[in-house]
Amino acid sequence: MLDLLPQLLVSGLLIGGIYGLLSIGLTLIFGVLRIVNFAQGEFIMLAMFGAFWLHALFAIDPFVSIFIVTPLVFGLGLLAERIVIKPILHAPHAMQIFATFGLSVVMQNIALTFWGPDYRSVQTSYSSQSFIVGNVAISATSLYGFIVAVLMAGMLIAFLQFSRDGKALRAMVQNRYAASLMGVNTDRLNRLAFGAGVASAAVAGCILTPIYYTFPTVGVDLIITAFVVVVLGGLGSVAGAMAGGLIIGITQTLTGFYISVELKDVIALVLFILILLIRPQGLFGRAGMEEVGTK
Amino acid sequence: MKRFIFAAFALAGSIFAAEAQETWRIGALYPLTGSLALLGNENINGARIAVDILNERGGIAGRKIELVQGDASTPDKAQSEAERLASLENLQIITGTYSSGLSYAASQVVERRGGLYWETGGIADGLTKRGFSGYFRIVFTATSNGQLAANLAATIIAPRLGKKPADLTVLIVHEDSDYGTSVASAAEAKAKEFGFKIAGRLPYKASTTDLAPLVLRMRGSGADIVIASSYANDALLIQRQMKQLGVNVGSFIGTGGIYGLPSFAEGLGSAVNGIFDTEGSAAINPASLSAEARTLLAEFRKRFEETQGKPPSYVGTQGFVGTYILLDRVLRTAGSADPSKLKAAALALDIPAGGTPLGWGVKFAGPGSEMQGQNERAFPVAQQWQNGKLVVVTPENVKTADPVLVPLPTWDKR
Repeated sequence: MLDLLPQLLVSGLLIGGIYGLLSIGLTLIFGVLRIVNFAQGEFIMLAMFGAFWLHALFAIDPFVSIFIVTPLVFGLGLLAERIVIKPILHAPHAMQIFATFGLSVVMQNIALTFWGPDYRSVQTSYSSQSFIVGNVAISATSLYGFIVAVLMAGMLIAFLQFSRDGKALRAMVQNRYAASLMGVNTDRLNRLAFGAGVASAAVAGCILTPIYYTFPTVGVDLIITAFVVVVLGGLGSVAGAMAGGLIIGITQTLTGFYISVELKDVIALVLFILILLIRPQGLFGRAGMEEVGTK
Repeated sequence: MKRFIFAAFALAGSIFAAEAQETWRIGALYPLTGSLALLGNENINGARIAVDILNERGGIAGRKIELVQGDASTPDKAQSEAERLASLENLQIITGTYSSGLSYAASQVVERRGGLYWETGGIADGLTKRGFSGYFRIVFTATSNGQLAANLAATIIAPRLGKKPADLTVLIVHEDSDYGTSVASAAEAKAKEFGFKIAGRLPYKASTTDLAPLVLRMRGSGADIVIASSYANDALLIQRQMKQLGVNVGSFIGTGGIYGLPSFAEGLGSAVNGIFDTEGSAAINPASLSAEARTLLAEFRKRFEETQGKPPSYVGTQGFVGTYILLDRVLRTAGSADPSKLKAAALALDIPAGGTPLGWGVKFAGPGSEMQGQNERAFPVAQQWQNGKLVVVTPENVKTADPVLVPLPTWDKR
């Protein structure tokens, strides 16, 4: 049983990278706007449909589609921010939850109306390929996805660290009110953060297309893990989301193999609760993050 | 003026009442949105064709039939929609529901109100173990499906692997809802009876995003034959991750659901060939059908392709057959929507095997039976993907092709 350990660690790491990618958009949106975007999974779903149709109609590889789908979803994100998010920015939490949850239901049903409930899949030459290193098989799609996830997280962190807008965003993450007093255009940055947040969901959607089926409610399955990852990593922290994703991925894979496949989510959640007992703010988060600067 | 308005209302009311009298209104409860929408819609599309065919032939006792739709996307909604159809719409006959979980919830409401619940798709055994007098299920049970999977392993696969069951290891994996669990336990019990070595029964969540641990345990167990009950994404993940991790088995049996759908074949390409699927089939050997059932099946296929632009799956056909029997045989015999007459007509049904387009006969287990309301003449068949198409390989009297690709070639050759 132990001889499979390297394989399990590699598989866990790869799926963990994808969890991380699913989560960074969510954490960015929360960090800046202090809104939990329940429609994040549906942006992933839309991107998956985008990549699916580009492949079906024009034979464009899903990894190439990233460059077409992401700007489109970014634009859609700006629109959604204007119509749904902006009016509820200062509303009570319950109202924010209903609004983004409502957005998710609307998006699911638009997809259902336009494309029907069918399960669609993209079959690429590398869909089920893998590279063998020693006695470890590395799935091609997961490896490419992992590389994209790390690149994406790296770019986002660099953007937040070094660019002017990035610094302003970080200031907003720390304290939105103070940032606006310092001359930060919070309206524009809210839009930018929401657009960038759903755009990173779009990247995740494209790389998931060759792995999963695409259907209107696929986002629901994907996003639950992402919520856990975001809280574990610390709300608003991109690096935390990646670290959280890797921890959950590896835990699930190990416990799924050595203990029970059925209980792998449960055990990952128990670990999640234990970590939160010791560090309630998450791995990379700051205490009281969800309240700071919202008033 | 006031009098005129009253008169208008009275007139409208009488037209409405007259119209209501002239049609048979049948509740059709399926998941039309949400995660089960694909197969729910497929089911109701089949049911609609049954209604169209019968209406074009003059309806039942001179009255047209109308389906009153309900959207049962979750058990909660199934229950509230059943309440609506049974009380607000005042319907005595409700058909549905595709999924067992939805059927449990909805049928309770209808049974309490004394109506007739006609199940065309939910296969969990427990549904007909509740002693409900108004619950009739035309489709086979999860147990018979699981047993068929084990049967297939013993009678078709084992000889072709050149070994006795005692020298072969069977691993059972299943999604952990009522459906997967009941099929898997039946398969496990039957496989034990045949003397197979059982490497284990591994449940998992259908909504899971990664099944590498499951597939690696498959490799660790050295299984020759895998029996799997899956929902959708999970089935594709199992196959793709088996290939990626280089896990080869002698034979793979899926028990219905996604394993029999075109999207499964699309997702796998040529690697789908050789995989078995146990469930009903819309394409059993036509020689085993009665002349009437054959014509009806051809008519249904033609209409389904015209309206949906694709051939019907088994699930669509089951919606059609179930609804057709309900209307043409039960409602016609009863001649009224009076539940007691409907129940008596259902219990009196006696259609021999081959009498419906799915090859099933119809004879319901009566009151006092442990499986009251279960159609005792429904049966699943074993199919196999060959050249991207499903063919029926057993039982002998309904099969359309011989099984091939046992043992399954290794992944690099598929």
